[in-house]
Amino acid sequence: MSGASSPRSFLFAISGAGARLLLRLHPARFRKLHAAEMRILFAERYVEERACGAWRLVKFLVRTFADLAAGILLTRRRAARQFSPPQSSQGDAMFTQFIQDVRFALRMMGKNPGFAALAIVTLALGIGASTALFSIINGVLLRPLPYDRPEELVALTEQSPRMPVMSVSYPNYSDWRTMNRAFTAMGAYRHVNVTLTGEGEAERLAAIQASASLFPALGTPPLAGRTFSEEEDRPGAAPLALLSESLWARRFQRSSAVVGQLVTLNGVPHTVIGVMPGRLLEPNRPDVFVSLGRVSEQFAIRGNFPGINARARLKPGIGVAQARQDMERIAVLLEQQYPGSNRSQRINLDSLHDFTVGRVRTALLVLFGAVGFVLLIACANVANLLLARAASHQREMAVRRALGASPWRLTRQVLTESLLLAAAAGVLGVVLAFWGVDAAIALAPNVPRLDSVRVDGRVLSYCVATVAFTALLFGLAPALAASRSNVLDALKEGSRGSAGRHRARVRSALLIAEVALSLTLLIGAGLVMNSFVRVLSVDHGVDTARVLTAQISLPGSRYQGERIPAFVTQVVERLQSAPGVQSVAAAQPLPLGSDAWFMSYRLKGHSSETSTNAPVADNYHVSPDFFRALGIPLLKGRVFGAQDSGTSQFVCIVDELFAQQNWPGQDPIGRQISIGGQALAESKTWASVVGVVGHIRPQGVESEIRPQIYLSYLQRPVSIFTVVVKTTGEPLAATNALRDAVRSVDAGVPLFSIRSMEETAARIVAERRFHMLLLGLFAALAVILAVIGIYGVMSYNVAQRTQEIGIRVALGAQPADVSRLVLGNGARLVAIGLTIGAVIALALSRVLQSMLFGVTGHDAATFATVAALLAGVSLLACWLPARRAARVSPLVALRSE
Amino acid sequence: MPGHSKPPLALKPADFYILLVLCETPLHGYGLRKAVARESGGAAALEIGSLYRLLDRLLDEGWIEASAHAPAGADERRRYYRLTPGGRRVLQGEAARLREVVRRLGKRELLGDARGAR
Repeated sequence: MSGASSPRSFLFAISGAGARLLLRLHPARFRKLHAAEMRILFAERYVEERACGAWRLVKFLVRTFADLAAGILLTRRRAARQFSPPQSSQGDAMFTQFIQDVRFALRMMGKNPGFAALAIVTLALGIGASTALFSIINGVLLRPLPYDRPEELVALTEQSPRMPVMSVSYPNYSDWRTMNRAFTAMGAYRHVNVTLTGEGEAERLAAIQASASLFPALGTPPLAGRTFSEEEDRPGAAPLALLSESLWARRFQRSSAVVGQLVTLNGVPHTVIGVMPGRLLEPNRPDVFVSLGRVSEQFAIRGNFPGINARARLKPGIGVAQARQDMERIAVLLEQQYPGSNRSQRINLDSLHDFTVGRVRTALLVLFGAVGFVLLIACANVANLLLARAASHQREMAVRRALGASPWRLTRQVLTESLLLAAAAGVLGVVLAFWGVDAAIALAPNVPRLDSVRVDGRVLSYCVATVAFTALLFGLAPALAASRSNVLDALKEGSRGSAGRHRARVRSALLIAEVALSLTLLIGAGLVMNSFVRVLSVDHGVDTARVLTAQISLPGSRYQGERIPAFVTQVVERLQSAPGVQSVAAAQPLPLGSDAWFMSYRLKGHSSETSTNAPVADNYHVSPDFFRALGIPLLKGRVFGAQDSGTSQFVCIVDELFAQQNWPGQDPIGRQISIGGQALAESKTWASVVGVVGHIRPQGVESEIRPQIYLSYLQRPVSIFTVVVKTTGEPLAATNALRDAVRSVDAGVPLFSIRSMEETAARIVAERRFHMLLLGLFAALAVILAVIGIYGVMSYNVAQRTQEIGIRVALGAQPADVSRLVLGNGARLVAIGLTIGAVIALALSRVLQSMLFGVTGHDAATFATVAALLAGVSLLACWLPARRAARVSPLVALRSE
Repeated sequence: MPGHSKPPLALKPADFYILLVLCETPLHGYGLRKAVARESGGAAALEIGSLYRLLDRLLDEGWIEASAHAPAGADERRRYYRLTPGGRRVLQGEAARLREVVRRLGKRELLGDARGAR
């Protein structure tokens, strides 16, 4: 728990606030005199005790709070004695009564600690879970992005009929920048990886190629130095670099002398001109920024979308809708001007906040709703507990009424107890939330902005509001029951009266609500779980078993042209002879790994050869053994061989989908394709199809389905690639062999992202798995609470009816009749709850839609299974009391009254 | 009225220790708590609330006072407490009472036993 490492920690803030609250209940004179001092002493003691370990700290806090709480009464009593005659102001009387109520409630809790503990823990689970989730929502969805006037920032992406969201082509970005009327500034950036060499060990860095205009658009000034100028952001400019705060701290110890130094990135010396703050462009964590414009000649093809992101700042007074119109106008103009590349090409514009967190919003809100249900069920349970207990205090209440206590006074007393229970649960809940948030951050895959999640004032306010709300919610029914108690009825010996009937009705309603809420939650969890199973069961076309992968980035200064395939060939050869290695290949990109690359293609001799609005396909650069290593079946023709080198005929392999789409019913072997934009087509680099392989789902089953083209790595080398090793045994055991092979070819080449292919595949479903786990957890919690609740209500009912049951048995009822009576009563309530729950679930299923895969929100099988499950456990919870009822001996039952 | 200089009965242990440590030097809350714990061998460990309730009472009795100026070189944000002449008399009275107690015990040879038992 990093939070506890300074007196500024979360726990310190909480406990300090708690202590202040208790202090506020001391007399004003005492506060004025001592509060400031006490606060200082508290801080000093806190630090001191914490140094002695967590347990000492907890003991200190418990003792301090108990002591302060006791002090409230002691100091007040003293103050009252000192300034007698006592002032009998309204407020003071209220306060005295409040103190009386608190003392009474504490005494009640002390008398029945099991009851108090059960209520507090139940509520704490609900409050803790909901506070934890709220702090995540607060950090991810509610806190503003860390930019100057973040509401003005928008994200721009391109859209084609085939791809709803795609990255931006550089020439388009340039035109948008000059043609728009909506923005004060627009910038672009692109992720790349670079290798930092020079002093110390070679390090792999996450780099951003950024346009000079990006920084003013985001409105983030550098921490030191300056950013690029427009002149420095052009082809031919000198190489410059901006460091991120983290790299600056890690490698340069925050030295301001770093500006002006040279750093070697990918073998090229770059001059450092400044340092940028750490959270720029979150959720990404770049280490270094270089110029995008300097290398923009690589992106000169308009039909090429090399992963460029565009950001812009709206002019004051211009909204997102207006800006969208402006971009639509530009898209139409560009379409007319470049019908080849820009036909039907449109521009997406979203506020940066939506763009950043929109993906997770639904999931977070669904989870928040789920937690809300858990909290409601917890409230229902505690309300039931209180009601049951209220019944046993009925006579006492009636006596107090008879002695002159007003109904309001009694209500307030019961509410005070509820508030006390809720407050205790709130304190425990905050501690749970603290752990929960830590655990969620550690487990959550790929949720943007998680680093801005912390327990802050807003979260604490939420927690306090939740405490008050829950206290009111679960305290209301017992409080009303207390005020309603009919004096005569209650005082009459053995009478159960109208209040009892009323309470029984409330309890039944609560039971129904619990069943309904848990069914809704369980159905939601069931649907998400069902989706997850379906996602897992769909074959992505790649055999991930016993495959080790690692990325390699060859430094551009030493590896160009023929040297790259030579390096790959050498590594493959050395590895192949290593023990435990079956086959070795190189691939870029790795299927299931990073995003697929897709490019437009044209078919020779096909009508689309003249059409410039070319279709797109995924593109993989692979070495000969790739298909064997990943178990992708060869359906026709051949795979690549050593003969497909830089000097021979340009070849490619397509997947079955490509063949079927482009040459239905014909033989694809020997056909020719041109890949990439116009530039390639003009240089007449037609690739002959030599083979057809099985289709794969490169981003898992949820990705869009695109045809695939494989190029020979030997003909189209790229300096960043993944080595794929199929092993005979445990894949990670081959790590050393892989390292040795790479080192023996070139010791200066770093390996990174070493992991098994199974791990890579698991990453794709990690988000889904996380949602499923959380939702499942909440649903399980809900069901457990509901079952406890049902059991409690039914047991109580049986206990209440002991006498009646005894009479029935005495009059000849069989045990089976008795159980049927009790069970029937419970079953009726459960059935009503299940029906209501199913209706709620149906109504809410639309909300879940985006989290589902392969099932609809009203999947009958899920509904039925889950309802049957819940009905089963609910009836079990009813059956236990029913069995007890059946064993009632009439003698005992009749004697009990 | 402040200055009941003669306590009717024995001082409460915590009061006694506070007066005892304050008769040497003015102290602030933190120092006071530490000194009391040390002096009493840990027997009188005061929680924050109890400490200030005691101080509040001793201030009312007029046995101690909060000093306006901190001793030289001390933390100026803190309030320091010191013994009043009245408080010193109370402590002296307690000392006399204790001496009397010891005397009575000694007469019955209880002290010698205690020493021997060590």
